[in-house]
Amino acid sequence: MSNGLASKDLMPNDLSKNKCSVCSVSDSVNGLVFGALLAVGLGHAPAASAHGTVVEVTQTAVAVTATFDNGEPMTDAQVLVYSPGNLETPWQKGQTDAEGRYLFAPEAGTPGAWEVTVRKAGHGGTTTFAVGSAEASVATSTPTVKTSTPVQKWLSMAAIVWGVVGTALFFSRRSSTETPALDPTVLPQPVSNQPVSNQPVSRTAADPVSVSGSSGGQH
Amino acid sequence: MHISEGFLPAQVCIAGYGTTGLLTWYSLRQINRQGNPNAKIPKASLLTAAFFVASSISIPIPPTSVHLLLNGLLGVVLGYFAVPAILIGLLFQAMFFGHGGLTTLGVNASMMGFPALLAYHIFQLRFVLEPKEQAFSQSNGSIWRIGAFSFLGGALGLALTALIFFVLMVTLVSADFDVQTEQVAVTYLTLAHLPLAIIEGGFTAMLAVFLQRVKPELLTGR
Repeated sequence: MSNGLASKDLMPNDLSKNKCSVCSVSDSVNGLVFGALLAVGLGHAPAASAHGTVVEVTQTAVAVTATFDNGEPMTDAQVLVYSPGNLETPWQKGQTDAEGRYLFAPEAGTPGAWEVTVRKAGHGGTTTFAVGSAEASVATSTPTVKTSTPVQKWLSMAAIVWGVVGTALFFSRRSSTETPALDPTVLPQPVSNQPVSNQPVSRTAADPVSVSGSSGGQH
Repeated sequence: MHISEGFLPAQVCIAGYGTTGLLTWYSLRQINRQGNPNAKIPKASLLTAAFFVASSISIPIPPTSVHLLLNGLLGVVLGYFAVPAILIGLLFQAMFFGHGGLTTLGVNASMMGFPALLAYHIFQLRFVLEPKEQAFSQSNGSIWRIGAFSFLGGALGLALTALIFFVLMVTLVSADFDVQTEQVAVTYLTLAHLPLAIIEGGFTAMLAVFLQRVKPELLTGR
């Protein structure tokens, strides 16, 4: 807020009207989506002159848009901008507007990786973008994390949920098949507790389990 | 209610992993002592899925919006299984949604795991405070007692998480930020979780009463 450009001072629409190069990058960091709109035209727009007045527009600005992952803008979030030469002390501090946007103009003579940190109520993230040298006509931004589309997000969510449900099904099936075997009440006690060689032949034939088993096998 | 990456000092992140390690070790030890842990894995697994998805469900509470946590519910229904369930759910949330982060996974897991165990012990209080004539029965307690204590567990579990979040975020603000502005924002967010605590407490009570009526053995016993 202190040194940052107010949105009304340099709007992206104004920039696009002047045919400048616009590079829009979105990335997702820590549950937030940052859109770094780099409106860059390191040259100068044609100056307008009338009645001794000169109006000159310098198109060198960066727009940071911070939103939550549900699309809601991060309003009144604090923004820290670090220049490539000094990552310890913020080069500029500010606050996002009602649309979660913050505009600032990096020094054209300081190319390199600039860093932007946005924070509100313990939520936020950090992203970096590169500003080219003064001779370059277009600056580029480097997202730190790739953005996933809603389809990818829902697919990954469905895959994980299915994996977890599959785990539940696997263990529920295993436990249901193991339980009867471990239950001593369903085992044929007279047969299992005695060695087969010690069992009289007549008793084996009269054993109801053995009889029913053999008859079942014949059918 | 996840702490994002980059806002906590490295020492706090490491300490978070330490406490989470201890918490997980203790929980797994208790699970092992209970015998036949495989039998409870299906229930824990399904609730892990619910916990994982819950953070994507936003509830607008002006002037902000919050999302479901369900750590108190997991504690009430799962007992000690809630800790590994929360740890796994948080890992997936950090990897796939960017909620929280890998460096803050330990802090977030402790921030939600300890209150989950508190919720479990609050729910177990229904046995301590029951009438003497029922003290030696094998029942889970009356429906009213189950509903009341599960509500308290679900609500206080989330409230304690919000309190830990508040303390961490208010005391560990980098000097580069406007500390007062950040503290006000954290206070608003924490207060917005009080209605959510009541919502989750009610949801937990409904689930516990439903389980008691349909399949009482799924509720944590004595």
